Amino acid sequence: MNFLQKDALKEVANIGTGNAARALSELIGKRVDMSVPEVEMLPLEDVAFHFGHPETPVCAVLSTCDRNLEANLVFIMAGKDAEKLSEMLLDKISIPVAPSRIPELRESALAEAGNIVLGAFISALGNLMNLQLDLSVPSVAFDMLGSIMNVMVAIFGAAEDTAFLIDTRLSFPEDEDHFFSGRIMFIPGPGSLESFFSFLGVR
Amino acid sequence: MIEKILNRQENSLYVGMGDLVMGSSPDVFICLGLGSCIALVIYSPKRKLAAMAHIMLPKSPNSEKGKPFKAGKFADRAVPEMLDILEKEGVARSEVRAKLAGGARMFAFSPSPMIAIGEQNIFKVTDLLGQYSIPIEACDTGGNKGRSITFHTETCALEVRVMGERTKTL
Repeated sequence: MNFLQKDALKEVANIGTGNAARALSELIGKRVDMSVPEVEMLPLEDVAFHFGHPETPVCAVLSTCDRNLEANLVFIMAGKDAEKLSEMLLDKISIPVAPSRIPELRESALAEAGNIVLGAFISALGNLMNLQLDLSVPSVAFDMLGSIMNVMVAIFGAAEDTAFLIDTRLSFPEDEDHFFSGRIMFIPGPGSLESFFSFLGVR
Repeated sequence: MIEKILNRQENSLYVGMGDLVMGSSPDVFICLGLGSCIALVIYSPKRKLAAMAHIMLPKSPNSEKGKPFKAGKFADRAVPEMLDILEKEGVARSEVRAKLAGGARMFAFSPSPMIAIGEQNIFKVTDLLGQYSIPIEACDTGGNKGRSITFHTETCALEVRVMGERTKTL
């Protein structure tokens, strides 16, 4: 991948993340900050450790785009941050909820938050590329960070010894009690990078 | 980075995605955060000698051309390679055993076929071990949870950790 292609990807991810940050901000009514996207090309054996301790408990929401552009998108939050976000979202529900149903509601609240964030990301990409890009129903997992990454990059094994992904962070640091940080990873399928560049007109 | 995180002991061997590693007593193999991948260990209890592969996919691509890939990546390449390595060390085929863990499907609702690759990995590895008549002494595969594993060449014990559960020793 050349410098121009890398830059184009960064810019695209930047637009996607901007839209995702706006969507999350509207959902929770707080200011959301975003980081500059990182384009990562990692040797497979380094993937488990690159993003933190592989056994860190996280909540991950996965959606797949399989029409017009093949990619996985995942929204990853530290376990504690996911708990905070789900509390914030459930606080907005005014009807009383039976305590036994709270775990289930939390999971679906997180799935929906992930869906909104990732949907905003992909629709910004679709607009930019003038393509209809739709996401699958979100799927939630509470597991180790390393295991989530393991599943995400296994897809690259067939063609390469390198994993490729774009990593960005969202956070709302304004009040200490509700500090939250999550990351969006955009993982294009092995074959789809080429079509990505040709859509963008970058050689 | 890895050194720092693992607080690595002198005789611990970290087996990353696609790696194939050989060791003998008192070496300890470590795989952290397995998802759909499989940690397969083929070992000789008598010699306390073992090979471990961190298998990502069931089948290698057909084409012979292209650059060589990591030895432990594909089940169909890793298993014969591990047997070769052990054989070169003078281990008789009749004395080798296998243990394996991994192959989870963590995202239940995802329609992506790649997310279900864990089941295919389990099937392929089990099938290959059968073809080479290697007895499977223990396995902890499938399910919807990621795993971390440790294998002790000295005792041939395989420890499996799942988030929020107690460590299992197989």
